[in-house]
Amino acid sequence: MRLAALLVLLAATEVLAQTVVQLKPPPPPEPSVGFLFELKMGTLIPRVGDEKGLTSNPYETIFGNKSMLYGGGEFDFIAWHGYGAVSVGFAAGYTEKYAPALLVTNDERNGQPANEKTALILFPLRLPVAYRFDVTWSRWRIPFVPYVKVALLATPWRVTKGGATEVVNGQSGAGLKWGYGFTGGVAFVLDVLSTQMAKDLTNDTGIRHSYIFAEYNVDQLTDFGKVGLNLSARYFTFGLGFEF
Amino acid sequence: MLASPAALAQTVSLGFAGGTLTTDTVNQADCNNNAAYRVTWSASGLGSSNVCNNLQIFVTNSTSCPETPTTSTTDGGTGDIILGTVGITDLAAGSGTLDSQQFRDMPALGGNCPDGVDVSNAVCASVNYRAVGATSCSPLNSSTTVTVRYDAKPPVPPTMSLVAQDSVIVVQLGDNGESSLSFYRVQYHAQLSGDAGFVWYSVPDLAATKTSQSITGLTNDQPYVVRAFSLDEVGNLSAATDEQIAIPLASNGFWGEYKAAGGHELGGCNAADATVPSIVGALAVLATLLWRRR
Repeated sequence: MRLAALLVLLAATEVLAQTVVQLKPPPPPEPSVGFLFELKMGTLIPRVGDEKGLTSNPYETIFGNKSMLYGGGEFDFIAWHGYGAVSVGFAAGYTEKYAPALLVTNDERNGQPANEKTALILFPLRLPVAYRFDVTWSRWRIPFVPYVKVALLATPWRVTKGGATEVVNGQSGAGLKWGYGFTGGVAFVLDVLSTQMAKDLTNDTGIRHSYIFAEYNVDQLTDFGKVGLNLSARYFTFGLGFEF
Repeated sequence: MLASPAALAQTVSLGFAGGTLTTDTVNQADCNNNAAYRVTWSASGLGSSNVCNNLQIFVTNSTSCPETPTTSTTDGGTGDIILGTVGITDLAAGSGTLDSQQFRDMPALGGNCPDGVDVSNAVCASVNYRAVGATSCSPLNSSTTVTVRYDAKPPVPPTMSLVAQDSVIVVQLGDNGESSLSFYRVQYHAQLSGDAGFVWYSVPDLAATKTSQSITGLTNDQPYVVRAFSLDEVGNLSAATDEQIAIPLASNGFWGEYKAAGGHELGGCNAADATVPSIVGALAVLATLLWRRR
């Protein structure tokens, strides 16, 4: 009887010896540096009519109240990652708007649409410095990451009529406009939708996080206050981003 | 060890001297200037052991080659013309060039260069040879067909429509179903009042692969008369299209409207203030930051 009890005890000990306690490891700390790549789009209307001294808003006269479709990309270097992340980057985009030119005659046809089209073409460039409060995700697992950016802006611009740069009184409709801009936005971390897919993405491609975002931009493109063509705009952009 | 001619495949091929074209074409002007062509030949597997007669190279009044030339007047009205014969000894040498021949002597032309004609005549070669093991001779024809062509037929005029712009008339052109066009020619003149004389001005010929040509530097509010022609691959000029009238009108694009509204921007590449760093400079700063971080 005692022998049987001893055997049962040994068997139980054997089972217990094979039991492994699975402890969930803590999430790895966020690397101190990294990169971000974003694709974004939005619509904007340049505030051309805000220029002092204009007798009318030429943007509205030509294009009405229709917006310009903007598309672009941004590449950022995460220079510091602590309580949040600070990055510096470069962004480039493109936007254009076409409409018929307007006739200039001395009869009833004046102001009517002409046969040729005119276009305002912008190539917005920016050097942004951003702060992302990504502690919300890295520590608290809240998938929303707010952020702010301040940027130096440079926008080459060009006006065409009939397919060529429009020239008026010897002045060519092209130039470069400088300014600054502020951006505030929030990113939704897509990792929360499928943790396993996020891990696979990291292992397969090196992309640590992916996210969608919405942001509001306040761009002041007036050559830092000079009176001239005002390409400032306030607009939303939306997009998809990757951190790697 | 050298193979005997009879052991090789027997072929005769023709070409034009100085080129790889299989069709040599002239227009009426060149024909009138006695333009000529030269035929080259090459042969293999033919020699004294298997050739029964001289090689005949001839131009026929057709686009395909008969087995043997017909020098009577039965082949389309004008008999085939023997361009040259190659003796058995020369044939064994493998290749040669005939004397030049004038296009106007093509069988279809009979020594003339008529208007409005587009004819092609095949250049052919024929020789009788004895195949391996055969006791009788059979004809051998050139394996390649080369053609001489006289094209004096003008193409059809193009389709044309006009779009009047600011100091510009855009002429939109179409081939009108013609497949052999090389260029369009556009001419214009200001429509003057009364019986005042005018001169047609031409803009540079437009390649037929393009579909529009702009006439620039025109005076706004002035009517202009425009017509166009087609030119085919040998320079034949079509009849003119029906004349059309367009009136350029001044217009403002966004830049013109901006300046008209009193805009202060000067435009041009010097618009940015010189004290503001350039884009290149800003990018250089960014690159330096990134590099130092690494």
